[in-house]
Amino acid sequence: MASTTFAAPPRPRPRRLDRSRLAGLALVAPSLLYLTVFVFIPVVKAITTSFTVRDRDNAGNYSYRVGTDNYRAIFETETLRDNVIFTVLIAVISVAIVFALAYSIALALRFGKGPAVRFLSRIYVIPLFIPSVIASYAMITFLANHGFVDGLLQRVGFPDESFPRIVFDWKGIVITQVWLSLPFMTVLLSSVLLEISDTLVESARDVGASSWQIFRHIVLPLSAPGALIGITFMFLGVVGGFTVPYLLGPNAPQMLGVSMVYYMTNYFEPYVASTQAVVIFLLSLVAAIYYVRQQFKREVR
Amino acid sequence: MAEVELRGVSKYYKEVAAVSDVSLRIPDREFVALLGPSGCGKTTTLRMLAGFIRPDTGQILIDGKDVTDLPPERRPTAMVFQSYALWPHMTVGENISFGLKLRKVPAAQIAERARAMLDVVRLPGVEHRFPSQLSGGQQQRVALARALVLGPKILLLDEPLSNLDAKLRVRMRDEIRRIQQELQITTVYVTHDQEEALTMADRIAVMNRGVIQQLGDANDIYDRPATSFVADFIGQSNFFRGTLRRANGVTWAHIGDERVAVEPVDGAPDGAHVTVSTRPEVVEVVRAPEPGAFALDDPRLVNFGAYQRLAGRHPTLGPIEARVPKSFRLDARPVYVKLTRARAFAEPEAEMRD
Ligand SMILES: Nc1ncnc2c1ncn2[C@@H]1O[C@H](COP(=O)(O)OP(=O)(O)OP(=O)(O)O)[C@@H](O)[C@H]1O
Ligand SMILES: [Mg+2]
Repeated sequence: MASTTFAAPPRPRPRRLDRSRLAGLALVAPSLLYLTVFVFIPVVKAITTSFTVRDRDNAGNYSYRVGTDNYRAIFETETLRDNVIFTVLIAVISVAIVFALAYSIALALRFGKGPAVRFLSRIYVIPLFIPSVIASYAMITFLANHGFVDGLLQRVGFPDESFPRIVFDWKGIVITQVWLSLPFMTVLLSSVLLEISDTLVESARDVGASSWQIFRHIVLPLSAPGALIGITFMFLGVVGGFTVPYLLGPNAPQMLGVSMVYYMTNYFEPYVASTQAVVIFLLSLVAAIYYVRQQFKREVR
Repeated sequence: MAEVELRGVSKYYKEVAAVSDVSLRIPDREFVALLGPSGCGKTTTLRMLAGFIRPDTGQILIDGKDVTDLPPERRPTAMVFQSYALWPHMTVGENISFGLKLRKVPAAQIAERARAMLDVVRLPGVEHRFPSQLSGGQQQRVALARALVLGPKILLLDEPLSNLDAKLRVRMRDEIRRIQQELQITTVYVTHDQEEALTMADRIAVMNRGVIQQLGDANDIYDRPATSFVADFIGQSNFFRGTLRRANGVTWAHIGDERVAVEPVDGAPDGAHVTVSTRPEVVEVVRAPEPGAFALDDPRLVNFGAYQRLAGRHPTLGPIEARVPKSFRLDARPVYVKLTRARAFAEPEAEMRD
């Protein structure tokens, strides 16, 4: 019955293929150029600079050589090492607080009902539209000693000097980072939670799961990949941040971004500055590798 | 032993009644289909049975116990969703075992029961696969296994086959029916597909606009539709509008200056406006005039593969269709139709088929 003869398969048409490949190349060329000029070259330059050591002889003449002295300085000089540790700690603390808050809000938005949730869903994005410089200044006037909140507390009877030091302290950085990053993280987590369809939750209830068990066994694992991506990006943002720690941070220790600028412009130590830049880059790289691996895992699924 | 009962159950969204005063008693082991067009309240009814929606009025009883206020996790019902709703981060085995784990069933027993259930749905050996690695039909089997492994008293299915292709749908139809018979579980099956309802269910509840219009077996609703809506929704029907007259023990529907004999109608006085319906397959086709036969103008034949449909017009009655064998040929001779076994429905204008 099925003795139909099939025609020979059509030959591939190489010319067409070549042209489409060329078109593809033309499409990626601008971004490739951009990456080369603004990412690749600076990174290579920073790395070479970080391995350049400047020696000064007794006569005050400089000589240059290749070496790892800058790295040793970063991890052995106490102030510099503290800056690295400080940067990582601030990032971890900020991310942890933002994540906890954002996840709670996103859960409320996704599964909650009523006017409170509706109100929250309207206002939580507001900080998204406030530039970090403005937010930082607002935080300074708001939370500084003798600032707005302090004044308010003193008026209701708290003694002067009882207000903790928040501005120009690590707490100032963390609070402002939280304020600035919370909406974005909430938007991201909300969309992650929205992707979990109602029927997945309902089918869990149907087999007898309590709200907590649904959260623990269904919602949390299903939102984990998306949540980890949010965590990665926020970590990157805080580690490489400048504005907030510059305006609100303490003089010592400093976050790497701030310290880098000081070494570059005030202490005329571009070598140390470059090394700090490379450290920021490496920290980001760890996060980036993690991100790529998560993405890969998702695709395998 | 599990019997379900809905007593005067209603559910309103704003002013609109999604389900309106539905009462339905389903005895142990019965397979009931809720059948009706989109938006008629099938899903709402089923979800009230499962506990996802709380009815605004009425009661739901399972084995005589009022469960109206119990949430789904505390009802002895199990639901199978149209979209399967398998948890994508769990393997098939984990999906099936989840409910058992929550109930702290010993691990060895869990594995055993999950495996046994996969055998029941004829999908052995896929415990370690993820749902995304299964076809739609296989996923629906897993969903069925997941629902059944807990030994529910009532199985609830919401259009479980509508995401499958036509061939597979027919196969799964038989499978679900087989499993239901094997486990002897009381089942409520929501569908808008009349063929599914007619072939699978012991009894069918035909719904329209939140109301059960007729409850009966396949023969009841096909041969003796209770309303013009049922006559229209199930199978095909010819429809006419007329008035009721009784003469010499025969009930007639007068349509213009013609009249058609109809089955006796209870509770409608002479002169009542009625909708008359008759199925194309009981319309008799003759080639010579005789009493009670209507001449058909413009007769055309439409081939349906297994049979043909003869369509034409009568000047007074309007369009009429009849089912005819494949051997039927049109020629110069005129065509007459006899409307046998016609049924008349006296319904308020608003209730008529829409
Ligand atoms: N959450 C809701 N809010 C408002 N109206 C609703 C809601 N759920 C259902 N309805 C309305 O109730 C009616 C019945 O809905 P239901 O989902 O039960 O219909 P259905 O018979 O299952 O239809 P379908 O075959 O399309 O699934 C519809 O008119 C629908 O618009
Ligand atoms: Mg539905």
